[in-house]
Amino acid sequence: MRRYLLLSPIALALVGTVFAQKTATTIPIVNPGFEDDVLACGAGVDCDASPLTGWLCGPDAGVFKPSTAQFPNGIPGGTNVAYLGRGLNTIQTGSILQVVGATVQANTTYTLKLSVGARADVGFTGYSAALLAGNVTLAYDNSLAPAPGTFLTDAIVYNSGAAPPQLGQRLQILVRSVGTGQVDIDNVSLTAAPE
Amino acid sequence: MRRYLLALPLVLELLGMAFAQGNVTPVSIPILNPTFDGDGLSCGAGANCCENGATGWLCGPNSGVAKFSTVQYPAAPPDGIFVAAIGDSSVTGSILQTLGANVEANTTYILTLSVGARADYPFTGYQAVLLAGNVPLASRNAATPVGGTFVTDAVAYESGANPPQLGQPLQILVRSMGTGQVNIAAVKLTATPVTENQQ
Repeated sequence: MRRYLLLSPIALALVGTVFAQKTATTIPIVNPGFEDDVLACGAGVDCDASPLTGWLCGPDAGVFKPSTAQFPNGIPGGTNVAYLGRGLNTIQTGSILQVVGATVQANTTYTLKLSVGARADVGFTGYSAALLAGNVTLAYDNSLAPAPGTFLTDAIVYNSGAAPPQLGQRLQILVRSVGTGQVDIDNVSLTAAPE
Repeated sequence: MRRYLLALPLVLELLGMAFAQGNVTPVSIPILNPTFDGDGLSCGAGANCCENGATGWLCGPNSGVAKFSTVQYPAAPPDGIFVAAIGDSSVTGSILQTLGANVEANTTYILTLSVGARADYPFTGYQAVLLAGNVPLASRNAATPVGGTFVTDAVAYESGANPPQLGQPLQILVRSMGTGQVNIAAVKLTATPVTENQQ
């Protein structure tokens, strides 16, 4: 009996280690909620600026402080979102890209989450959100279609497996608008968990 | 057309460096938005159908994506040709991309670009550079496309046994020179291991 008692702390520690390893780790993203850039203007249709701190912006993308005219129930976090594509007399799409510090590891599940919004006052014509490494797309999604004035949460999952082709390459996040409308993005996060 | 023919021997020579000495297949290094058509431009193709910035590329002043018509490039398709438009009469421009691949020893890298001069705007030169860790490895500025055409340029770098930038991420930089504009329609980078009997 004593032996069992002596062993139990060790067994508990080992079990604890196994569980701890399964916990998802948050991968740091610069300016994930787009709050690093402070817009002095009053929230609304004209309160935007380009580009965005921490993100490499494509042709028409930047920071936007919307009001209830754009999102009647507010936005998922803070006061800003990223806008991709102008949506008003637009001629070009937009994109945001960030290379994060973490690299692809074997046997790991990566989950990219983001809030995808459609303004109430501007058309939404699609988007694409992707997790990449070394400029190669690992996983992507473009399936959400939020109702005007609302956000939906997208989750993109990539299981690296035992021998991922991009092993050791730095992870990248790329979100782009599709078509002539605008997509608004908030609260981007990326986690890694052992498979 | 003649310009293409002039550039052809150079390209063949550079490609030959990779092929002739061991039949090693070049590996293509992924580039984000290499043909500059990753951004949608809904405007009609022409001189004014352009926008600063290009997905995947860090752009300098007055540089971005453009959709040009047969006015700029007579051989362009009816719905236009996407290019990177770099610089103008007021300022030079540039595009830069850091790649996922790092410098490896005993490898030949070949950066190939389609370099264009608009028919309706001055072309005053360019510079195409392969870098690693922000250090130039090789560069070229020799192509001189006739107005309204593209020519292919190729920049080659042989890393050798002990490259100073070993393990540093490769980078592509293209900049305009002077007060004109240079257009880039396609960028490609390959890596070919140099076998022992080549050294």
